[in-house]
Amino acid sequence: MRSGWRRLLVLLTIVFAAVAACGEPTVRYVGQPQAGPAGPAGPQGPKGATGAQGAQGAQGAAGEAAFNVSIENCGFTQIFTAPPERAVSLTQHTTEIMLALGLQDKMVGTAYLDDAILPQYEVAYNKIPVLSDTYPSREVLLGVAPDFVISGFASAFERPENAGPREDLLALDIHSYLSTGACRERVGPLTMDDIYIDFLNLGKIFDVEERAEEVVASMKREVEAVEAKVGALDEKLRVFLYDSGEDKAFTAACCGSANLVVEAAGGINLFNDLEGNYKNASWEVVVERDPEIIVLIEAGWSTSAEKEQLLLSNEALADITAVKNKRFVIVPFSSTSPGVRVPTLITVLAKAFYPDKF
Amino acid sequence: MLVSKQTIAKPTGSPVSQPAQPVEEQRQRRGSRLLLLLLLLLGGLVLTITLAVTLGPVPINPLTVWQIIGSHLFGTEAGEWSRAHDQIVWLIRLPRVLLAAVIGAGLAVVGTAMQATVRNPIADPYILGISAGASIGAVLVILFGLQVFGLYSLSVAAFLGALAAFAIVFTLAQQQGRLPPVRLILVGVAASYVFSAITSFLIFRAHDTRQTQAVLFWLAGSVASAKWSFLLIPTVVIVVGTAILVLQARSMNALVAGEETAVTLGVDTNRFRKELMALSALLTGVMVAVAGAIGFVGLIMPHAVRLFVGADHRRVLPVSVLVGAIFLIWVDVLARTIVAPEELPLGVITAFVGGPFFLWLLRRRGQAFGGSGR
Repeated sequence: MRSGWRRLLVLLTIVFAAVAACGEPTVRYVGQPQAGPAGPAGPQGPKGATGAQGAQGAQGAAGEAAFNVSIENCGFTQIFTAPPERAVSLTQHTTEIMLALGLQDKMVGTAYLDDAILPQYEVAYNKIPVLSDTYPSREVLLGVAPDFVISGFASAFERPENAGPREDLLALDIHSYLSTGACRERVGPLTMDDIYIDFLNLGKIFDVEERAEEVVASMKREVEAVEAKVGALDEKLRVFLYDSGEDKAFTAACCGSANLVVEAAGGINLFNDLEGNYKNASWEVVVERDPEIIVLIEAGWSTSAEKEQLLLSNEALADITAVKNKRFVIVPFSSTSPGVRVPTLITVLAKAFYPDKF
Repeated sequence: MLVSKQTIAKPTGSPVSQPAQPVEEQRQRRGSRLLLLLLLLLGGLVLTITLAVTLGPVPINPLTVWQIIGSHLFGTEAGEWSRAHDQIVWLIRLPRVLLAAVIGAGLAVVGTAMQATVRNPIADPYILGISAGASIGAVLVILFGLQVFGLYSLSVAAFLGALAAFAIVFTLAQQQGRLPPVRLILVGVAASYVFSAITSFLIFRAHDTRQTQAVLFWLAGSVASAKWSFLLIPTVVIVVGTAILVLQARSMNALVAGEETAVTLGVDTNRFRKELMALSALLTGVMVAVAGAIGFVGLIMPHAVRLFVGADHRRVLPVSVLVGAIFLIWVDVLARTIVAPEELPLGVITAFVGGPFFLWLLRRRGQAFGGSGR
């Protein structure tokens, strides 16, 4: 008995010692001092101990003196001593943001398209290699030697089978950006400013600030035009956004871009009392809250036709005002992601909500 | 050793499940045959590692691959390769292959130990509700981003979940200080259902389909998280733990032979069972924490090995170490290549590839099945 348990105790000690040891950055991972001839030398400016600063030191030696941009994004601060030259976008709306900023020449890969890319970006998009239909594996990502990775969903950086942690990428001198709408730290409903900030940040990172400001200005104009048209409302339209689901409805909760577009178009999101970006709602509550119009999301995995069929064929839902009047508006899934499409979507929705005002 | 030595009769070397008149000469022949088999398998493992690092979604010349590894290991500088290839080989492929080897070996050995402990051939490393407990921790981190332990949140949470589950099952299964195997299995299964229900509830509350996918991926296991700084813990724990288990082979034989025989041989079955269980739980907890709940290996690998070498744990355990390692390396090679540029979780492949292979094996050498697991 005694010897057996002592052995276990020793084992446990080893585990905890090893766990503790792991908290410190590894020399191999960051420095790669023995990298082959093609690899750059280790960090030359020994100004700091952290991987982030070390990586910066390596780049700073060659970079132009003037460029030095510090960006804080989703609680992760990075310093850019030169604009990235080999960017990879892992999600559709971030790809479209990059293309809206005219950065196609700085891109070496895209991934995870939800539906068709916006027609005005098609030519530029087709010139960039598509790494994967969904997330590429880490090996495939590193295979194109990126120096910048951007994603519109946190899962890209949270899972090792995807791109992996941003800290690990930075250790390889790969900067990263996570769409503000996808930040874990963000609280409260998403605003248009949260979307604009991504454009402005990328403008700084890629040294295309003017272009970024132009894009943001034109987006703002479009949103303001809708506001002006819709004007003050005595009573807002009750809007139910139906993303997917049969036995229950996956719908816009309080704080994502889907809620933002509905409210910006002058509607009131039926489930703005639920936390998070999207949530499942029970049909019972949908009936009780009685939406006046239903936004149907067009997605490859759940078509709007299927959803319309379901709404119209279910007797329990027949008394919903929107169903009775067959007031549906169909929008593609990609347009609800926080990117360039948002102002257009707001316009489309506002026209559907209040046709008399347009 | 886990069994207190003083009560054990001087080792006779006679495995319990063998006929009781082993001629000295026969035993020696057996021993040398086992040695030969182990050497062959060791060679197979080295060959497997050599080949596995040259395979991946990004095509890299095998020679370059080994030049890169050589440059890191010995500082040799030869040939030219891109930094991307260097990172892929040294930071992704090699740690992955090594982690797969360690986990594969660990799962196979813990599976063998668990089957002996509860004297049931369908026991696996997760029988104590460990994977279900770990899942709760992992899912909390994946879905709700509870980053209490920084980068290692997921592993730490999974490990804590595993140990908590084990503690609960272990406590509830005890009856007047004893651990009846059947009761243990029942408690383990029931607790697993409760834990799974909690996991399902959490997944249901998730609001991002991509996160749900990430959870499913984790639940089916993967060694994608492998990196040098991550390799040390599992390697040390699993190698040490596995070594201890392998050294318990004789006592495991006694355990399987039955209560009376074990007592005759001086093995305190109750205490030995508890110790085996605690050690297995620790090992499984570590493995689940780094690689998720990889199914099938721990359940089937011991049986596959038994079909070849018989039921004696002194042969089953060391052979399982090597076969488990080789098997999981190849499974991981498939996982990262067959749906490239994406990846598959390991659990999908272990069962899909291993299942039919095992069934084929069973039909060919069916008589030997279940020799010791009872």
